[in-house]
Amino acid sequence: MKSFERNGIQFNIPERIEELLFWQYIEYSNLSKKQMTQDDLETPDGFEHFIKIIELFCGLKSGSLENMDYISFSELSKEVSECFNLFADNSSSMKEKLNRSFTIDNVLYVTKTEQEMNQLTLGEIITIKTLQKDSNSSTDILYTMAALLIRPGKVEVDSETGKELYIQDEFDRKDLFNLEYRKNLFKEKARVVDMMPVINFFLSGIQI
Amino acid sequence: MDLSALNDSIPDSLNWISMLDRLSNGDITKHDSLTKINYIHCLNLLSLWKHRDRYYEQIRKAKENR
Repeated sequence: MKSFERNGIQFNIPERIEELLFWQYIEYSNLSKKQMTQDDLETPDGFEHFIKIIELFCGLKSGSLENMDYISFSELSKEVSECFNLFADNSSSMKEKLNRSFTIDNVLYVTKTEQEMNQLTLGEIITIKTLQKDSNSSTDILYTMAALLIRPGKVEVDSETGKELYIQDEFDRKDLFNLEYRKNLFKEKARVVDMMPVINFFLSGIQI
Repeated sequence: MDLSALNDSIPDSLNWISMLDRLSNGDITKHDSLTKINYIHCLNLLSLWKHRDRYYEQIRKAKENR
């Protein structure tokens, strides 16, 4: 992570995919849906779009760079430009970096493998379908799915094979009560390598 | 049997409860425990019951027509 301060603003620019936060990935995916040419970037709208992307990769809120002078902004853009290479990872090397578990605020969260995503329980499916129906935003539903399907758990060692077993807590009412808390926690602190094992399932177009 | 004249049908919003009701054989106290069962397994079971019901219906009709 490249961390520095400039003009009183703290910048944190990811240098590896493991450092990229999930919300940055989602926001960048949304912003990059709008295809921009070099000519577009020279229009006010295009430049504003470009500023949003730079703010995103610096981990800043929208509007944070409004008062930055052009020369400083150009230098910053060059430093951020390497972030676009984070998405150049091919799928096989990306898969190796995805996490089976991660810790946020001293709680261990366990994700699901692709195989486990094909073995969801009736309760999980009913909840997913109900919340999908009520959701207005395709971005918000991704955070909801993550909060439902990535739950606290533990890591044990198989006594026969010696392999690590990642065991999630069973889905129950507590997960519905904690849904908003977990969603906000993931929005703020989860990394893309933590979330992708589960989110990939939905982004692959597979419908439940 | 022509069902097109019927006005009442199960609303879509009750589909999930209908599924739980069928799987629990009408026993509401089993709904919670059913939510922990694998979804594909539940679908397979409902599919089995549907085929089995059709099979017995065919046998019944065959016997009536004798």
